[in-house]
Amino acid sequence: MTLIKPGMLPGWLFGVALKVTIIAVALVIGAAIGETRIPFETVLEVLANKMLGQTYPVDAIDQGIIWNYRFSRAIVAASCGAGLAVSGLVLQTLLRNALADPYILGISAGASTGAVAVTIAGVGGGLISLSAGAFAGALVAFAFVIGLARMANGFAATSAGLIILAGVAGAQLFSALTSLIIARSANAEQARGIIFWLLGNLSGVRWPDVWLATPVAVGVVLIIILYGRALDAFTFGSDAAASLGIQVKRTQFILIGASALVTAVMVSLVGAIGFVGLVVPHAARFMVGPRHGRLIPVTAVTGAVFLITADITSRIVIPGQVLPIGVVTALVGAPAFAFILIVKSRRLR
Amino acid sequence: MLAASQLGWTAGKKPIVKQVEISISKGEVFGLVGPNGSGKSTLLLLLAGLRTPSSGSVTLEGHDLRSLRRREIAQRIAIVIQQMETTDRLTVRETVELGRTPWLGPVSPFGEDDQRIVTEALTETDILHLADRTWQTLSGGERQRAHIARALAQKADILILDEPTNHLDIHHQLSILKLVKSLPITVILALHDLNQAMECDRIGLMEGGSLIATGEPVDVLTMNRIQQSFNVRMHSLADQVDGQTFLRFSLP
Repeated sequence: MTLIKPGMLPGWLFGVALKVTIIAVALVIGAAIGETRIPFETVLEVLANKMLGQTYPVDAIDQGIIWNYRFSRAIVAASCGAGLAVSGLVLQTLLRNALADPYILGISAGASTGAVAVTIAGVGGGLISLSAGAFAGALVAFAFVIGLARMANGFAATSAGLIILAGVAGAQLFSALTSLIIARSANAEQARGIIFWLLGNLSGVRWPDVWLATPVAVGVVLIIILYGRALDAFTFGSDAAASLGIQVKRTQFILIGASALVTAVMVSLVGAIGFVGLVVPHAARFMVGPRHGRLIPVTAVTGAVFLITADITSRIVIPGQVLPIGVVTALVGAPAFAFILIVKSRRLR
Repeated sequence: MLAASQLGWTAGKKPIVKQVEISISKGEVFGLVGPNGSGKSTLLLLLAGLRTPSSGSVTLEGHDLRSLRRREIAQRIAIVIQQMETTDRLTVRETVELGRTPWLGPVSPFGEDDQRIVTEALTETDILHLADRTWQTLSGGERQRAHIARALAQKADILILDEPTNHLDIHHQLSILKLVKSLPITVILALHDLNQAMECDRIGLMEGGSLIATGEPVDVLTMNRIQQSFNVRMHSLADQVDGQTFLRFSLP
């Protein structure tokens, strides 16, 4: 294996190579760890067979577990982590609020409502896909939250605390709507499945999910990277951004749309996973500072690695049982967040 | 160069700026004075294209600002408004670098020229020694100078400043005003200190959203007008050192 050192490559290319390597390593670890013990060699052989056209003799069951179950799942976890983390970052920057994230602002709850409305209540008569329903729900929820915050603030600029309060109200409302739809329309079997899914769950994830999650996550991250300078310009608010030549409304429209899209797709695949969008951008800022050029890619990679790790943990922490991944992200995320806050405040002194 | 005609702006139903006619020439330093709430800040936002007029228009060399792209405006007009704050732990240099935004594409790297311009702006505003300090560690005056440096780094030919001497100690007040006057560009600034306004090439006096007088400072800041607009009595005195006149105020 060749080691890449700084200086051998232009800075940005080294950065890209490093990030790709980190994600690749995390994916391989995701494929290697699980309840069934499979030798690491076998894992590498399976991946080589599938991706590099090699023909190592491997047990078919092992191959199935590693390729169809764990590896696809790790890729979806990575996409989901990167997507949610970056949309949290975008919301934090555009709303200039350290507490903003798709979960807290009720966007995830709205996406859940949309998804449930389509699958259980049959809205759209089968013409609307689960993801489209989730996307519509996400946008409605976000519009509701922003609208509420603005009205409460007399149509002036939205203030920091109000938007979070409005988000909490929105999240509660849409969770209640979801429960209402489930209670009215679902049978017991469906209800159990849905409630497990709502907590965030990667169990049923297979390759077809990869083909939806990964292009959306990669696409959205790339779009947001292109808007890195624009996001920097929002540091001192939207008037300052406009005075620096940023088309504020268009930028907000595209970036919030992209965040809602990625949140909706991830919610439709794996349910509402909290804490990623909130914690990961702060962790990334802690590592590389507030400039978005560096911050966005680092947030994406950290989110990907965080969710792969959370998924592995959710699979092995209770033998014989899979914990909803949302439970793990909160269990890991909350102390991690506390740690960051404490270290950050120490550094300030 | 920059002109407003029949310019008005209302918040809800309340008119904030009313029928302003103004024409700023290239290279002049234009001061805007008036009591609190007279619409100075809003007029500056309108002139920078950051608010859309409710009536009338603002034109830059004959082009309505609404017909220009945001980026084109930002390359021509830089503005420092009040209360621009952040919770991000940005350094002073990073803040000033934001001024280069209108000149950079989404992926074009920050070049040597950009670095040089940023360093110049830091030097001109006397904050080069603070370049690596984070925003949260700065005093109000240092933040104000960082914002002015950011606007200078924008290399626009019109600079709009809303009370740039706010928060500054007397030394830095005088140096910012000296810097502003020495720049080879057009400057429009709102000022509270009428003695500082006397140093402008021309001034405009605002009252209740209207621009009630424009012209050379001595012609605009007459005893009667000051008494009417600000509700204070004014005397002008001659400085015994250099013979310049300065204004003294007292309550009526």
